[in-house]
Amino acid sequence: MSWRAAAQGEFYDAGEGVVVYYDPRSGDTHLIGQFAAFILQQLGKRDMTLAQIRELVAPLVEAGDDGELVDSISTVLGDLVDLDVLQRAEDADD
Amino acid sequence: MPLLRDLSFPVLGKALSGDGLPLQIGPYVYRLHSNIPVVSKGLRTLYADFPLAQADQFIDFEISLLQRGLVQRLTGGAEFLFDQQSPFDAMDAKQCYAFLEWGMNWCVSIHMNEYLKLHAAVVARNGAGVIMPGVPGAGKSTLCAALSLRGWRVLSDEHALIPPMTTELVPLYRPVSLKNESIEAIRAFSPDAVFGPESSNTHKGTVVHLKADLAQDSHDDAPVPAKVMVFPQFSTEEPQSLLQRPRTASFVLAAYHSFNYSLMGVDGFHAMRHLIENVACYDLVYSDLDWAVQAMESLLA
Repeated sequence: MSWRAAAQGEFYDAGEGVVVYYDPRSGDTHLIGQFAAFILQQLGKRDMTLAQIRELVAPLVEAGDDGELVDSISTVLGDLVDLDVLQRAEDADD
Repeated sequence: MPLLRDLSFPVLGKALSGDGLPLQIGPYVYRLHSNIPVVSKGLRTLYADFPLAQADQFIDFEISLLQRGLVQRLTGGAEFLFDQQSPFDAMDAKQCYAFLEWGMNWCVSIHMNEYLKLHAAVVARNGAGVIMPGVPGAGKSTLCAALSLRGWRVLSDEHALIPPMTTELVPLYRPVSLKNESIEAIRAFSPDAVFGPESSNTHKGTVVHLKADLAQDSHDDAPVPAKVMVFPQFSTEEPQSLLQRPRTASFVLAAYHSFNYSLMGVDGFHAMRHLIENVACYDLVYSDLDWAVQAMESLLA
């Protein structure tokens, strides 16, 4: 299963740990974590599976339990789906 | 340009009940019509220093507050008309001065989208603008009133008008609306304060408007650069404080207080980003007006 940003949105990162995200599809504006913003930005460029996201993210975070990292990514993906800014690529292509 | 104060009371009444009274209010021209005495009294008190628009100027908002027909006269009702249409239910004529001011706000809130518009009081000191967004009841008008009585210029009690991709504040001065406890608070703060007609038992309680164009440049039309955004909150339960707040959280809160951020789409996002990147943002919690005025002074010191 791969993931895709629902739209190529706009980001405002003032370096405060959270980022403003504007979704042009819905017109909604969200405040999301920097980690979530990074993932969403990457998924706006190309579809990725959970494993591909993990590969991309792993070098950027402190070495630790790989299972924890995957859990964190899964949580972020779930939160972004709840905000309706992320979708499964397969659903979007239907 | 002649001012409303140059009209005698009979001439003012004749204009209101005849061809209309054209007033230059910020970048807009309102033409007002009314056959209700409290409206002319209120305008005479609160709008004395407003320039009259020229006869050939484009009219942005044609507004009437009228008692029409025998039934309205007998029952004490009145109507607000915009371009001869009635967008609201009839009102009690005793409350019509408050409805006039609300209707004038509504004209800008609903129709004008050439600016990024925030629901905010806007004040200035020594050429530096402060935007104070807030929900009704937050205490922005009370603070705005107090600042006007301590030498600050009021650019608006209701609308921050910002040309997109600038930090300019376009002046749209009108009298400051005060409700309920705020009225006595301002009377106590400055016994010389000048108020317009009182409207009682409205859906917001008792409402009066304060004449707040006391600064010499109150009716200048040149934009003023915004330097600070303050989110005021009146509270007797929290300690008074003035604290800097993050830009990202301020972005989202300011967007919440905007009339047209969503309507502007991605242009609204860029306009808001430009504004937020160029102003310092603060939370102000206050219960004492003298303290709050000093806190505001400290921001521009």
